[in-house]
Amino acid sequence: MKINKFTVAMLGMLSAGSALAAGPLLTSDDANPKPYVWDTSKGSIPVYVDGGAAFTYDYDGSVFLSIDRAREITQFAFDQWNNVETSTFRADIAGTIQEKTGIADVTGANAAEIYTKQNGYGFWVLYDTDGSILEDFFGVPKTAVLGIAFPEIADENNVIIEATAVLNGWNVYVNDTEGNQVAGVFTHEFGHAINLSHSQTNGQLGYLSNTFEPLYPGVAGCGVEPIHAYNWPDWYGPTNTADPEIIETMFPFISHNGAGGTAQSTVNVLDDRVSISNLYPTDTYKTGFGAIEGKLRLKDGQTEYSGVNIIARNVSDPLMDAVSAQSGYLTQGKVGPDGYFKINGLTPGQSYVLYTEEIHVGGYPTTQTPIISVAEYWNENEGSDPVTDNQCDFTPIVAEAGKTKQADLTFNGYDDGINFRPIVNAFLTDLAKNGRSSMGTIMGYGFTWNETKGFEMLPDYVTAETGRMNRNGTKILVNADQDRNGVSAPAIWSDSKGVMPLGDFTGNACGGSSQTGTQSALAWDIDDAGNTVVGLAYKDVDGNGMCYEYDKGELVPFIWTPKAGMHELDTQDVDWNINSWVRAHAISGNGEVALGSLDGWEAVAWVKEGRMINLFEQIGAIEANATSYDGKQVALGTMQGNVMLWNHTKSGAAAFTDIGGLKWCEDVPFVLWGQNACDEMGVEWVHSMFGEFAGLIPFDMSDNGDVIIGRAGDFWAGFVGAIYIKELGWMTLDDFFAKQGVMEALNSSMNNPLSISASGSKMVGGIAGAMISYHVDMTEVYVCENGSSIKTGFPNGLINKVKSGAQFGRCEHLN
Amino acid sequence: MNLKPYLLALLPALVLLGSPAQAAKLKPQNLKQLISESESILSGQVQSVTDGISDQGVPYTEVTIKVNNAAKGQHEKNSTYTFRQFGLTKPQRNANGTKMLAVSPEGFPRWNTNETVIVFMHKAAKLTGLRTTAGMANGKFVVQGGKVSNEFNNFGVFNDIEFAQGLLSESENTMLKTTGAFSATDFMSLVGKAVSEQWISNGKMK
Repeated sequence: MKINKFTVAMLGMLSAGSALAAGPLLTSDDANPKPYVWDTSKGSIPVYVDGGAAFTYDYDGSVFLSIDRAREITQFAFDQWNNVETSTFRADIAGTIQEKTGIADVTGANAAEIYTKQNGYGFWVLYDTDGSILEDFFGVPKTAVLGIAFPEIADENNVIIEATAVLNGWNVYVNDTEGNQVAGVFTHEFGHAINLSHSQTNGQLGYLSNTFEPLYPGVAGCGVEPIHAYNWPDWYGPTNTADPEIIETMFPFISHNGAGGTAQSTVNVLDDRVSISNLYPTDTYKTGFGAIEGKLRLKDGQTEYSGVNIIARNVSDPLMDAVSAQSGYLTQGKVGPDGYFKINGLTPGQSYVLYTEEIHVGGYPTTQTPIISVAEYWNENEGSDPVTDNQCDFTPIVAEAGKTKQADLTFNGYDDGINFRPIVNAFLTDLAKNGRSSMGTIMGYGFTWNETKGFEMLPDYVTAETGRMNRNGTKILVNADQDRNGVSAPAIWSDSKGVMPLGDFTGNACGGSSQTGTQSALAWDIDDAGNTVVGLAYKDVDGNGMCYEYDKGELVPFIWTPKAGMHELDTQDVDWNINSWVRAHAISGNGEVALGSLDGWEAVAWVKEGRMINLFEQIGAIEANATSYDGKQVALGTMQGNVMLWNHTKSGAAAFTDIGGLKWCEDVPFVLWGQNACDEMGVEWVHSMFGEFAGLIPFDMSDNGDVIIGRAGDFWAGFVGAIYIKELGWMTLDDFFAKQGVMEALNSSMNNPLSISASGSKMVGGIAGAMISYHVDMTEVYVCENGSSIKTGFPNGLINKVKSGAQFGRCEHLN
Repeated sequence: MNLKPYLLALLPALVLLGSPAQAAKLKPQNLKQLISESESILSGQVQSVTDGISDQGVPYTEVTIKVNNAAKGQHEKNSTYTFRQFGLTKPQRNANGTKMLAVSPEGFPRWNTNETVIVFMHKAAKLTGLRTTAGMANGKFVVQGGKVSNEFNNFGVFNDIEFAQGLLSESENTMLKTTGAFSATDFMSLVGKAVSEQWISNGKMK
């Protein structure tokens, strides 16, 4: 028979997105997402099954598991979900795919007939005897993938009308002579086709926990004994090994060569029964059980936090009577940080403990996020003070039929010093210079955020990928397709006036394309007053109807003011035979100095709309983004990797000041495939080959230039966040936070700081490529003075203290 | 409150899962499998992520990576590597008013613009040209803060692999016992040597 070499494979390939323990896999894509569901009022949903000569063959070519057996397992698996008494869901085999389509046996060769067409109402179950559907159609290895299932089509009312599942017949173990183990794959996959996501309640104990890295059915360190997946290595002492029956069907992993597979073929764990009942509830379910709901928030007590598992366990039956939900499971990261969770299906009269737990393995619709501070139980004194809210203190919650108990959770943490606040599922791109408002994107949609108002979404016809705010955050620079003709143009958006278009050079007829559509011009920056805007505009120089042709001067920098409107900045020295584009992407607070780029490689500038200054030719500058309010200090990234300050009021060498940067090996490791060049070749070799400095790009600076933020490194270093403080010079952000004792930042590696306030005391940014941002308030920092940690202001207090001999950081964190 | 009732209640539910040998094989994909199943192993930064429906009618997510370097396969530095994996990034409305829900199924890697990645790319499907990482989400590692991790928190990456004695450095040996994110330096060092020195085919890695 066909076996697979791997004992446990991912059950993953189940459908898209997934989500909470007890939650929907897919939700609608609007401001108030709702789970896609089948309409169970129509009665049993038809299941159409594949044909063929066998589900899997033995090594000698004889049938190992027949098609008839596969059909039996299919009905068995659907029956597990059908038999949940608190759910209205039901699906039964109604016929064959051959009867409906004429296809006798779906293989890789004809799988497109199923996946590229609407085949009709119901579940379409494919038996991939030789793994060819997986390999030849999906392009995934049959050695690693056990099945793929997902809801495929929904009607205009978000009701699922068609779903598919492919089961890997090649990947069945030789010891699974009846198919009872691979049945766990069937039940799990059909769960996804029903629109259930993954969940984590006990599966981590059954599969991932070991004696040297134990996992607990509760908060670690609070007296709960660990439960292990297996009894190895036993020299770590006695173990409590897990009964496979505790593993929930919708856990991401399965052991389909043993008891785990068989256990997951049944829907016996409460978490799974609650999961399907949430989507397809009976009247009894709605009224006969208890619930707990709440929000998970950061230590500020306001900012919500998505992606953490919340588990309720019955104190009398903690493993079998347990339900989980991921914070933010209903919105799945589509509308910003969402700490809401609701745990249903709790037994009336029973007492439950509630606690936070990180998702251990992936595959959830809301990206799993790390716990900030520590995991903890909910208790009646829930709060953020680590002294009064001990993580191990818990207050059981007694479930009552038809009632929902409230239990908000707040991460613990100290308030003094730097406030490091994660904003999950969001990409913060700009901080207003007053430090109180910021903006960014969530799943491509623009938003604003401030500490008091929280999140506010921008209109859906507005894009804000390169958006910026004026000094007080009242004017927001965006692109908008106001006339809905499919072509966007720069605009200023404000609460009071809505969208004010700034015009373009093409008559809003054509332009360049991006992931957010066609744009006739693209806005990049706005000055403090909100009266000057710069960006990139498209032209149709040759009149051929195309406005984005390189080497013709069709991509040009613009500046906009209320009086003069949108007009070009000077490019008379640009040779369009060898250059493709010039853009203006930053402007000083007073609107006098614009910064930009020629072909993405040469830094350029304009002073008071004068002639373009090529800073690459003058000093080797490749990046110009950060400028002081008056534009007299511009931080330039250079080919040499160090940072040069440029003062346009001076000329020659006097115009430039070298302020150094981060260094390879000292601040940023230099790694190649096969070697750490710093260790193996030496620092001198690295510096001689690649230069001393690790390519620092400054992104923003304070009004007077005393604080600058940026990013250094390259792929190998994974990029490193950097901060410059006058009198201290450059340091990595990791070092900055570590010396200040910011425990919440220890595992974050904020490597993409993007914007800083006028005083330099507040900052936003994130991790390159990750949907998480950080809002950092550095108003209070510490220095070590005469052996004592002294709190002071930032940056002026700090700079003065350092000048007088104090060390940067809390004394206890300096080493 | 007193913890005892809660703790005591746990004990009856504990029963042996199976033999130690069975349990020891609990793993998704280890590094040897990832290397063996890969046509290309490359590092770089994700430049764009878009989705669409092919001429064939297949929903796909298209990913473009700006290549920094390759441990396996011929890929020039700063070249772009583009591939399509099955499934959309989010549901789309069909011409007939229905919605196509076929987003990339669970277990396929998720892609974000600007993230720095190490990818073990599986061969393309013969009939559709679709491809993704070997071992699915196991084969996509994100580099953050000098550390690498896949979607499964590196679970099982070094399970059931034996390296010839003296092959690994001290820090690489330490990495084998690490749970969670690995040092980017050690991980890339080990992968680079394993591929270039053909550790699998010459039996040094088995």
